Amino acid sequence: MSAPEWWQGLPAVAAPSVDDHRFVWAEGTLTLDAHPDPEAERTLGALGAPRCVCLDVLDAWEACHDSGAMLIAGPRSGHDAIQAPVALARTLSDDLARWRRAFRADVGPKFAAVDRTAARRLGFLLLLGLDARFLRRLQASVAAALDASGRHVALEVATAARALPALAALGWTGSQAEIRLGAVPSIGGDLAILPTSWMASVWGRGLADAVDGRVVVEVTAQHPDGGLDVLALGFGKSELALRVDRWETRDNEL
Amino acid sequence: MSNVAADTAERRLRLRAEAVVALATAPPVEIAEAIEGLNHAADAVVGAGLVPVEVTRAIAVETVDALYIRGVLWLDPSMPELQTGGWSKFEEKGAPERNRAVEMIDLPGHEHGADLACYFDRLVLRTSALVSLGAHVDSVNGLRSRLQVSAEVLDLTSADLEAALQAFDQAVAITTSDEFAPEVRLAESVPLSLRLADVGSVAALERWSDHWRLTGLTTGHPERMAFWSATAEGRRAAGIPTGPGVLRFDPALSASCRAVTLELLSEGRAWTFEVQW
Repeated sequence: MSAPEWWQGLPAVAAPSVDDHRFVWAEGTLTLDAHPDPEAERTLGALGAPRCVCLDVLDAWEACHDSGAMLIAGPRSGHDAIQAPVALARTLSDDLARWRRAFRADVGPKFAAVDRTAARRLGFLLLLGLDARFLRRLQASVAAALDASGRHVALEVATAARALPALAALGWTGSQAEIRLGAVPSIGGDLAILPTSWMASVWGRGLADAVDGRVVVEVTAQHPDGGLDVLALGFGKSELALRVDRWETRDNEL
Repeated sequence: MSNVAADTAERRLRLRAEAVVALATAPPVEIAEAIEGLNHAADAVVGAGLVPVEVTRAIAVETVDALYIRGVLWLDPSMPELQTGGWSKFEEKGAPERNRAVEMIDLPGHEHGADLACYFDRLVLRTSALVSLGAHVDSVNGLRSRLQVSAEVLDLTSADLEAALQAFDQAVAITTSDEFAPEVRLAESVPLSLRLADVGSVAALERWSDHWRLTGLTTGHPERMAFWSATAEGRRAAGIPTGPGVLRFDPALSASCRAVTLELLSEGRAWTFEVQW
């Protein structure tokens, strides 16, 4: 068996958007159930047709995969209580509407750039208003994209921020700066090395602390019945390979 | 600049951002200081040409968002670009209209990439100049801390930092021992009307009894970090903004001075302009 895709084993989730629209996450992809062809709607929007805010959210989501955005703002665990920025999103939405009314006759490049940035920012704030389980999947997706494109600086720091609590629980006393990405995972006295896939495939599934006294560092296989084979490391302990049947149940408190 | 240096700088900046986010429940003053440190670090890595400004800006914006959604509601993460009163069509079309009244002379200048040493040199020059103008003690502490943050994020040696801090402390000592403030008067105003490559323009140079200044200075991106400095009569000085379009340089120029070399460092790019009159 080969390592499964990072999203395998994670159930689909949905969240309400505007009106009766919904955001749906399934198999690593975010879709808008009221907008089956967003590309066509984007084209119409560029020609002046009214544009649903769902598309701003989708644009922001896609941009996150290039920039790594959301990994700084997004929650690290269920204990990292965040409040949906509802008031801020409303203020920005009102500002954007005023801005568009004031400059609707102006289609210059500066207008277009500010408009695009503001719409994407609004979409980003609306993304941050989704629930913890949804946000975990979105962050895992961004992490997987950064890994695939080799943008490991942002990924390494984001991984460190999410791995530190699990490592500290083992008695490891290093700091975020001492958690690095590498091909061979290890947990030493002053350096912890995790695979580049850790954030998407382990943290994304809520698996980091699934094994008592150890940190799960890698998902190696998925069984036909859904169970996962993992590798777990402890501070000063040998590597352990075992099967895990429950996840997404501990550090994010679902 | 090597990828290793750029990656190291970005990593340090991101780690600093994580440390700021971790302060979400700290007292406001501590959060404000940490955000200021993050901004200084961002300026340093951009100024040294290590990390693109778009990346540092995104990190700064997302850090503020991160704090806001964790309950730090006194922060204001709104977008000033959307204020329809401030940003106007005049801004979009203003520069050519403003320049139409005065014939501008092109001054091409010389452009080259900035590096770590170049950025730190300008930063030391600028912080010392700010102190010489009589900064408040909080501001002096802030400037000293900026030197330290920048040295850390740029991975400078402790000897480099020590030398910079020594120059800074000397400037502080000179300022605080200054007991005599003579009357300041304008000695000469020299119209220049120069277009400085594609980075901006300057209307005039003024020679004052204790300093000199450039007036009517515009740059293409006034909101961005820009360090101006100049060499005149064998002395280097940092230009300190003292009002809209005004940059002050110390000390005064002599009446016989007829040329200065202007230097601009902004977001990893550096220019040199030879100005004569």
